[in-house]
Amino acid sequence: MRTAKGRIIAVCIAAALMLLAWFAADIPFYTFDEPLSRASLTSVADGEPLSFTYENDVITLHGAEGATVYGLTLSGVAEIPGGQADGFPSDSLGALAAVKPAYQADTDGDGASETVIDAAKTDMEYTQEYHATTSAFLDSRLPFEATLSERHVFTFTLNGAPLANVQIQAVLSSGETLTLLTDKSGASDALSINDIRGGVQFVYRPDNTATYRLNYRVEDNTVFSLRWLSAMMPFTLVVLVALICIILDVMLRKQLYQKNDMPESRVKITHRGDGFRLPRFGFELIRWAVMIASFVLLIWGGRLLGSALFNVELPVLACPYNLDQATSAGCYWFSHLDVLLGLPIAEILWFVGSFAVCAVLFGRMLCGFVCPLGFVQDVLHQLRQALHVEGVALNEKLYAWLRFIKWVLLVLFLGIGLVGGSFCDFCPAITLSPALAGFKTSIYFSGFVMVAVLVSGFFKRRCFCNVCPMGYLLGLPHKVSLARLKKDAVACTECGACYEACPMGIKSIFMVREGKDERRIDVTTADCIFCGECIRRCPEDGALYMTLAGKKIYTASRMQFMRDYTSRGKERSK
Amino acid sequence: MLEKEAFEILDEIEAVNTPVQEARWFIDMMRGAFSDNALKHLKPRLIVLGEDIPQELALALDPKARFVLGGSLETTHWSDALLPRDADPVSRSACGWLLNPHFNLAEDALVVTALSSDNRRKLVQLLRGHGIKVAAADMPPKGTTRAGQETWTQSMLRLVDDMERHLHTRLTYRRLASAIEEKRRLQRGIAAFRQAALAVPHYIPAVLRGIVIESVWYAPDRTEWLRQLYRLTGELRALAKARYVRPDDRPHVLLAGSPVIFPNEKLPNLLEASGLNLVDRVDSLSMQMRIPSPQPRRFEGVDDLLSHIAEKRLPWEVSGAWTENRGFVAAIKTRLEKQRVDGIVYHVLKGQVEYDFELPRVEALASSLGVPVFRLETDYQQQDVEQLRIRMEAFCEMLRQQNIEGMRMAQ
Amino acid sequence: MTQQEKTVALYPAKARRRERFDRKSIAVAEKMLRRVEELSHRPQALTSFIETLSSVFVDREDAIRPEGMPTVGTYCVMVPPELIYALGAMPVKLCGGSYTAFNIGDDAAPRDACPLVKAVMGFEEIDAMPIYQNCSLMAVPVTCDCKKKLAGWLSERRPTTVLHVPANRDMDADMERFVSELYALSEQIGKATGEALTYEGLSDACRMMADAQYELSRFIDLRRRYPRLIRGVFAMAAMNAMSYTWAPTWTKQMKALNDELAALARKKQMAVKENRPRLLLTGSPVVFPNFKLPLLIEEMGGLLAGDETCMGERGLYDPPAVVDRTVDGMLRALANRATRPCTCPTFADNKRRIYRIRQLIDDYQIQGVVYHVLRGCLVYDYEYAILEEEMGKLNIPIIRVETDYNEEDVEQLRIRIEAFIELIKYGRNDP
Repeated sequence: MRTAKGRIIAVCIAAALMLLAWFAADIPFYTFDEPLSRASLTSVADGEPLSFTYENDVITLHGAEGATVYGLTLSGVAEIPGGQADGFPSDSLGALAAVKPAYQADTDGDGASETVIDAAKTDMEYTQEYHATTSAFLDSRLPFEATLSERHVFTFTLNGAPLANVQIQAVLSSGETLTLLTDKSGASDALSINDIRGGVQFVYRPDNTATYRLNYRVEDNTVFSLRWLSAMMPFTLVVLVALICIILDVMLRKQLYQKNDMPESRVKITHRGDGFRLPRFGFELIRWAVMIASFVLLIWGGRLLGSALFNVELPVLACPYNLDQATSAGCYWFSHLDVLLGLPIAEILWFVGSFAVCAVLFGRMLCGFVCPLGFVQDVLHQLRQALHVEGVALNEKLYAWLRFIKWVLLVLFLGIGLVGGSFCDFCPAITLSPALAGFKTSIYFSGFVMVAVLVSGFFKRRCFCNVCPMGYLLGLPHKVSLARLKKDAVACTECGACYEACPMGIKSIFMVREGKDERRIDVTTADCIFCGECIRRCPEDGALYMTLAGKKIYTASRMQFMRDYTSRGKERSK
Repeated sequence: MLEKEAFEILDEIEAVNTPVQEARWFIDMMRGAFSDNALKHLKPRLIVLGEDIPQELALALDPKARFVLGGSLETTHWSDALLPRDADPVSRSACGWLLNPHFNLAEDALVVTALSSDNRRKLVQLLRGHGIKVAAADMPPKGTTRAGQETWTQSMLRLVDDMERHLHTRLTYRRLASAIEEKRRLQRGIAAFRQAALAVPHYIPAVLRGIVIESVWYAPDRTEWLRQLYRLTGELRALAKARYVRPDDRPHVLLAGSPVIFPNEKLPNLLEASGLNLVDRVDSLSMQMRIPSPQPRRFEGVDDLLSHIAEKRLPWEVSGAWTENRGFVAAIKTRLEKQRVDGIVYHVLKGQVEYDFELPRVEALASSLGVPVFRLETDYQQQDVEQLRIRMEAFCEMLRQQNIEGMRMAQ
Repeated sequence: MTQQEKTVALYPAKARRRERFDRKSIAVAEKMLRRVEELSHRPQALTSFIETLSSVFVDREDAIRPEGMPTVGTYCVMVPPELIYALGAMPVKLCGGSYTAFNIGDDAAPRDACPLVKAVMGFEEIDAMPIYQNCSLMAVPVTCDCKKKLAGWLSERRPTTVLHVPANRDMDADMERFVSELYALSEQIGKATGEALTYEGLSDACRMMADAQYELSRFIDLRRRYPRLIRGVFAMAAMNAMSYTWAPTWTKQMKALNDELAALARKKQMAVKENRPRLLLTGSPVVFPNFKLPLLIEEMGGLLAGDETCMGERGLYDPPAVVDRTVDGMLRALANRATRPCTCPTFADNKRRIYRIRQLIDDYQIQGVVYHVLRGCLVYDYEYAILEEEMGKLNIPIIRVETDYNEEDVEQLRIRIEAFIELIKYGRNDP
């Protein structure tokens, strides 16, 4: 920004971004009503076993004959009169319980009847915040209680005391019965998220005089249902707005080109396919496969696999608001450093450790292979290629501006949590992952940012990756990372194809010639996401290659380059 | 050494030139600029290689910028080993100026130049290879089109960036505007001087006239230089009034083509010795002081001012960069039409093939106006002086005959 | 009466000159072709290339191409052939190699101008080469001084487009300006052909050239694996023929050559013996019929294993890397390809040439370098010193051969080249 005009614009952009990030929570894009106000409770005496079910935002208590319904609030347990409620007070903690008076029955089949206390408990979806913890009633009116934490760990208490080293039966909604053994703190993690989605019935028999039954239900984030469609609303809206912006841009551009007498073919959208080619097995195919797999796992992994690696914090923009991820996302802790530092030391070390391992093992390969936002941008790029729509001119000026915006975002990412804001209200990833997994997450300024990401990602490949603060942090240890990009300066003809192809605009792969060993110059930079485009577009044998832990995993090849470009249907003899 | 070569020429001139007092200042000034001592200690921060970078631009950023134009035979010897046989003497000399065992002019300097010819491009490569910092401006192939002028302006702006970074100064509009003003004043002074000098050719021969004009490139203080020039002009005017001035009936010739650069005054000396009156020159160096400058307007930026410079300058600039050197031919045309020119001596330095390409056009123009053209190819060596003098004398005779014929016809 | 007959009637002197030109140039071309054909181990598939050269220089026919397709004369590798094909025209590289045309051009051009340019001027003056005359447009990139002036000279006589090649090719802003020059060129060509620039046209043209480059890559690959597989003169003939051949035709011809060479390679049938010195020819372009130097090298016992000249391998070596499948993206790729990997010494920063030569030396196991300088080609002369130093570091002998477009120095050159080849063959004699 050498000119005064440039500097002024830069300051304005930085100020605007910072203001918008600060006030992000006050700029709604699409909000759902407060879960407490939109939910309602109905009790029906339908003769069914005592249980809670959810239908959109309506909670129904089944088998409510004689049951007393309680709600947990900040000030304690409160009875819900008549078991009906049209919305919940704002100090409610989203936990409801229903207890029936004790009765005598023989449920264990020993011929003698024992005291049976039936209860049901439920936690609403919004309590499943990041690092979901739910609240315990710990009230004499609910003697046997199971409290869910980490989405799959149950802690059992009886009359407020943890039930250590006991056996508890769990009947799943599929009919399967499991026997859980609690540990010394009364917790058991034998059940997976998928096991409890449909509701689970716990049965505890301390001896043959009493049976405690508790039906537990947590509000499920469904997929491919009406509820899912409403959870998808913000994302759908983002996509629509982005589409409109893109179409407008193309139309405006057409007008501008016509006015400036530029060739019409530049703005014509052609459907000329380049023919369908069977993708050949290679680096590119593997990368797409891994990207698709990560996308699926990071969004629906918990649902598909039934469990998650909560301790692994992948440093990609996989939003932590989506609790169905296969692993956790580390972006939350970076953007909320104050919260991180408040955690127990073991957790901090786990976090730092897993980040270091990811960064050193793979570095920004995670950006190129794993990040779901990256996948979305790559899909957009392919869409533009298929339609042959002209993108943005890639040059040093553009990348200089993007670099500047990156610094601003980095400061926001790390700093805004420390001054009371939250990057999550600004981050575009929150519009993608939770919505697709069925979590109703209100979107504030992030919606607008996501529209910008989609529009810019359409016209410039991986535009957001150029400014992503998480990516920058991942790229910091690139000097010790196992993933490396190397160059043979003698074979290189300085054709510049690598620079043109690089979505991150790394010019040094094109320009660097000096190094200790000319044939093996390390040109890995902090920006490289290891997408392999440079190698794919390099027409000289071995001029560029990628290594992982010293082993070559992708090398430039002239014949391969040529084969990719020539006419179809011709048999190439070697 | 260089000093010897330069001083020789200057001594010669001084010996011949006794009556004109004020000229002494210029001769001494040139001595100062070319002395070995000065060159050893001179460490300019900005060196302008060649005459095709607008001088006002360089001087606006660094008033002490040094211009390396070539011109010295001695320097060509120093660079002999580095350059191919067919490289032109101006480039050889320029290379020698910057790369030699005697003084290191480019030590602290950024060398600024325009990529106007093959020699210049490869010279830049050579200099960079020897560790000299060079900022080179790309020249468009046409200076007369809008696109070409825009490209030139962008190139110059990039050059300005490089200069600013090296010199740690900023080019402000005011600086550039005042540099343009200064150049305009210098041009006016030179025009007045030329006129006065042409009126008294026997007191101030063409060689001295040329050196005085060229000395502006080496003047440490141009305001002082201008003052001295006006004093000299005054003296000449006084001389013209006071003394009887024989009308000069020698054939008037125009020297066009490759530039004549101090201390290689071979050609002007040759023309004098052959009995020709060198009245004007059209070459890349002398044209720099005749090219129009724009009128700086208020509330403009540096970029706008540079575009105006481009508009005014490029159509007239004589440069190897153009596919067609229209300005060159137009300048010759103007002179043929407005002054008395009996013949054109077309000077081509060995290796400067761009002027040879222009020769057919110049010949066509000259013949349409009945003016003979004499092509003279030479380099900086002194070996061919005798041969050339014989040919020049013959040309002179031919022109004289033509003049006599012309006068007879007129009667 | 035909135009020619009228000319003959009105200007007998001109007609005689024309007749002399025809006779001499045909003789030279025929002689060169004969010498090429007489070399041993000539592949069958080379015949089609030789026929092309013969048709252009001996029979003086226009380039064979689809009916009604106009031609655009280009004067450098820096004019992307893909762009010309995309607009429905065919590019012909008209750098002059003819001795006879050179003699004629000698009058029009300055004495010290390069012979290539003089030959072009000669073609213009003599008006006897249809491949030159029938061009609808001349596209001249402004590279070296002589070509620059040629552009000006040609614009006075024919429709010419001048392309300003960016000196700072590594700067994005300059490259984008060159892209706009290409757009302007496409408009000019479009006027001549009546077609507009479309995505489909560009895409097809790029594909067409990619096919040609694929065959060239196969060729290079074969030569890398078997450096003695084919004589360099044959390769040069094939590459020179490309300038006058419609791309798909050339691709077919090249494929035939590759297939034949692949078969020979499988049978381990090499063109020359093991101990034949492998030489690299680099420097000023070698344009048919000026095959003087390559023929001498081959005839005096060397193998022309590698060639770094722009009418040779370099003319088609670099492919455009289309990273953005749009009209603008393809033009960017073409602009990049035309300038960035180009090792032409008219660029002030030409370090990439050294690396390229080093890579060629590795690829073809080169034992000696012949540095060709045409008299008047200053830019290549300037770079000789640099290359000499580099070859010294690699301990590879290098010889500077300056020559012109005439036969007078053949004997002298023969002796020098023979000595050079002997030097390599029998090792250096350290005094």
